[in-house]
Amino acid sequence: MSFPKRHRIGFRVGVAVLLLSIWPLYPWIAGIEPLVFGMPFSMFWLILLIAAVFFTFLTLFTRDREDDEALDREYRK
Amino acid sequence: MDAWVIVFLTTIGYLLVTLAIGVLSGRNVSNTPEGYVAGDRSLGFLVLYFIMGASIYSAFAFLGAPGWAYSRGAAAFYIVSYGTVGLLPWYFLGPRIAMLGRRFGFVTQAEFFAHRFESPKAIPAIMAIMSAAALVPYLVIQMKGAGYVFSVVTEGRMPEWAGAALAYGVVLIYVARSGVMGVGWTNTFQGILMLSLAWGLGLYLPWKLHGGIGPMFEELAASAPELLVAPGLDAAGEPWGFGAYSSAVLISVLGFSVWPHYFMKIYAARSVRTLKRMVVFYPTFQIFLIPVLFIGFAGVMTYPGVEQADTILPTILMDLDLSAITVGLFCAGALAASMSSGDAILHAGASVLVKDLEMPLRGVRREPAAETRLIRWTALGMGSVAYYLAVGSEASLVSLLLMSYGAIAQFFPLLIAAMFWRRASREGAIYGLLAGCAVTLALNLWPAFAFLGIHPGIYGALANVLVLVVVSIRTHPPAPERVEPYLLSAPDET
Repeated sequence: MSFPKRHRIGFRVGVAVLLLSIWPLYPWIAGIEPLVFGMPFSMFWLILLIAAVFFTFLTLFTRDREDDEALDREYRK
Repeated sequence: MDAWVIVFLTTIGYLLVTLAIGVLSGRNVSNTPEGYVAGDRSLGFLVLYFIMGASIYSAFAFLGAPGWAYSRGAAAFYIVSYGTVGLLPWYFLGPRIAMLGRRFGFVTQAEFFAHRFESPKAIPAIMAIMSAAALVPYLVIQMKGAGYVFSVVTEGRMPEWAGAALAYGVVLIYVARSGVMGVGWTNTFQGILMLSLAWGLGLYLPWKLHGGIGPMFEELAASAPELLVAPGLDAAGEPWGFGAYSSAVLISVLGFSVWPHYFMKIYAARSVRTLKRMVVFYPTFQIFLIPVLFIGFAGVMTYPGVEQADTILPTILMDLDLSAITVGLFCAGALAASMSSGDAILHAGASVLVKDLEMPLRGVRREPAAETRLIRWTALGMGSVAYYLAVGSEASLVSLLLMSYGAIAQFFPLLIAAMFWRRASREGAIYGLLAGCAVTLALNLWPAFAFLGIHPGIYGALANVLVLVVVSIRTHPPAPERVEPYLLSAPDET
């Protein structure tokens, strides 16, 4: 079985979020200023990444409905 | 009535509710390993979501994580980072694993690998030993956490050994009685309690001590900016290296999706759709760590010099003039954090020891009811051993636990090879695992050789992949009809 093409975006966002949380990219972002919602930027950045993952996979999930339902018919057999 | 009595009674009330939920929830599943270990593959979204969320937030969430923020600042952000992406492999691989689980009757993680690599004894035995070596210290730390909470609640009147016995007596009863259903429904209750408490305390304490989150961080930025710039500080209070920080994130991401007590929950999902929905919504649980970190930061300027950083939250709570009920609820929440991880570990550990170690090595087959009974007794035995280690020994568990993160992560390359590389052979899998473990262990013992402070598990994973590839190429390829059901491939270019 191969993955549907649209899954690439999920895979790429996952890898990008991981890379944006570690060296060498995160040190560029990991400072205090600007404070957002009262939080240092280093911390607010983590919330942005969580949101990016959540909304990407939520969108993917809604598009996967038909494929999943077909799998589930097989799964329940 | 003395305040501590009210606190104690609130905590006991929590334990009674947990016990009732745990015992009642196991009534409707079959008395078979499939029922006991995988809930007859019937778990819905809510239970699956809280099982994963609450199992991951252990006693560390209310004691350790605020402690990290308090003493090491932004170093604690790594916990948020790895959880954000750690479960994503399940979105892609989980459906196939669940389907194979149903098709071949798998309930443990090693059964999947044993079948794929045609290794009925060696692979499950190696994985079971590695799993037990990781899960037992993990459980011991949860028990110690529970004992500590009771000792604080009763202002030292109840010794830690009695508190741990009380909390884990309850856990043992519902794990033995109800299996994964008991774990699932109690975790739902415990998860809701923990989430409410984390947000309540996480927003209240900065407001009470500093007038809000903004003012708190402004003060910290002026007086202790080193705490707010990643990667924060190391255990000695010196600036932490980005090599160590990044590899801590990486090794935790690798290990996250293959911890045995999480992996087994893939088989418990009612449907593929349910499993994927849980993965999608999992990051909403991850946000819960943000207020927990606020708590630690809130203590930095108001309570300087707390020697044991893990006690920062109880220290703040005991000092503020809070109502006894609020303190009682905190204690219940901290116990919930300990127990919701401890129960899943105990349940998974017992299942692994019986299904992946005892049965393959002795070559015995039992009636399903007898097998389930043996798993229940093993849970009791494992709980007793962990309890003895928690109260009766001074072994350094933290180092064992840190080492086990590196060891468990070695399952991840194996998972990828099993599902994407037709050529991955039994010998490659076995020697890869052994090499990964050996390198991880060696670099834990001689950390000076772990270049740049990078986590030993990363070097272990590199050795693992190298050996897996070389040995697989040089040994017989596995039978195509065995491998075919496992294989996935990247999107077609057409």
